[in-house]
Amino acid sequence: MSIQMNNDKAWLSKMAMDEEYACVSAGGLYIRMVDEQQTTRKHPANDLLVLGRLVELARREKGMSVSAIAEEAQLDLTEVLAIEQGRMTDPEPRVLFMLAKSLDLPIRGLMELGGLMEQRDKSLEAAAVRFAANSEPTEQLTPLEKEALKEFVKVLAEYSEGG
Amino acid sequence: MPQGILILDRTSGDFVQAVFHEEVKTHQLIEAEQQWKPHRIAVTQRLLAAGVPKSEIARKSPQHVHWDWALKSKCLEGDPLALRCYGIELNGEWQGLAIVDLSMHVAHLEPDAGKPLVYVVFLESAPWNLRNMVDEPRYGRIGVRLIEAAIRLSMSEDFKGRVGLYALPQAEGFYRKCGMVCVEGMAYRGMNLFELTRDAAAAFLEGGSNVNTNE
Amino acid sequence: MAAKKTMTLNLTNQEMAVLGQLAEKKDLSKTAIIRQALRLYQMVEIRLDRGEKLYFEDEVEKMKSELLVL
Repeated sequence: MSIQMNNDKAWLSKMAMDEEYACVSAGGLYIRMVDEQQTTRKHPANDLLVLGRLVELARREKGMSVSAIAEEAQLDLTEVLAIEQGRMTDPEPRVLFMLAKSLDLPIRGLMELGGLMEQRDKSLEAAAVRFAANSEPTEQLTPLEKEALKEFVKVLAEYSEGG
Repeated sequence: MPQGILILDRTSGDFVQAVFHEEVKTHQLIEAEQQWKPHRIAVTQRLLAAGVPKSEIARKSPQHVHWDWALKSKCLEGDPLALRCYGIELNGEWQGLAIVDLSMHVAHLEPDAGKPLVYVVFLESAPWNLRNMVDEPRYGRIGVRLIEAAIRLSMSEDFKGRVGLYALPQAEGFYRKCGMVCVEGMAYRGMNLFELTRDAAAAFLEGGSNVNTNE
Repeated sequence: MAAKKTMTLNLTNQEMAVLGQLAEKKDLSKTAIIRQALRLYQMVEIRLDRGEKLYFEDEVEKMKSELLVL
């Protein structure tokens, strides 16, 4: 676009248009919005679980840990964990956008699963159900998972004894 | 590339540095809607509580319509070359946004009838900047800046500054002050088509004759 | 703004003539006409992909004819 805006205060002072008294809105888009049915956005809780599973598997497919993806996507570790565990009920667009970018996932799909955009049609819902059913973990823990589990259980045990 | 621009801080009366984003992305549109929605909802609820019928609220007060950002962002689906989305942000809060179309619209007014112009698909100032939404509007010159950007974009595309838009009825006064003229016979769904000719665009950039000099 | 690249365009005499006529009619450079054509073509494709249809309407005959874009 490369346009240069005018920051001359003299010009700006002249350009008082009483706009604070006006509705500054414009655009034919308004008509479409008034026509749109004000449907309540569907937000099934299982979509968040599907979103979480998707993010988790995509991350693991890249061979990345949660902290690694958090760092790459410039997100808090807690944010990524909340998404993966389906706990983030109102995900911020920024979070989904950065995850989509880092994990090479389609942004619109993530937005629909995250409840930020209305689902265009039923096909996503059907696909989400199939994905959820087929992505339940069944295999045994990896050595790393075993080690992490062992360590955390140890911490939990020490914590419980100390309390 | 974001650039610094001055907008008016109505509280202090001084000009403050905001950021002009030339290429606003979908997730930023969503962000803006999330920032603006609670204010709209609060005002709408006050109107409903005062007994104004819901259909009247939507029809007469478009700021109260739920500007579903999904619909706005749908415009940008496919990253069309023809559309540009730009906006003004200050301290992480979106103060104004616009989406313009560079390819599908032509001027109706002479001397440039039939020649391309920048068509404003959507333009809005944040609700906290408008007196019909809040008692103390925060920032000013947002609409002016958004129109200025449309004109400068039009110049850069060799459209000589021509801009067109359908104005919401309550906004007509503002656009007339910008130098825009109503195009007869082009009304659509209660909205009039306004265009800025190349001469009016040049006058706007100069701080021209239609400008109200009273603050 | 994104950096611009240069390309050479091979056009027939007829195509060049049309390009020139459009440039004059629209008061744009030839490059600007090509850019507009690209924007329009892409926009048509995007909307067709969405399932929309593109029509010309004959106001006199009150007839619509569909414009097919491959």
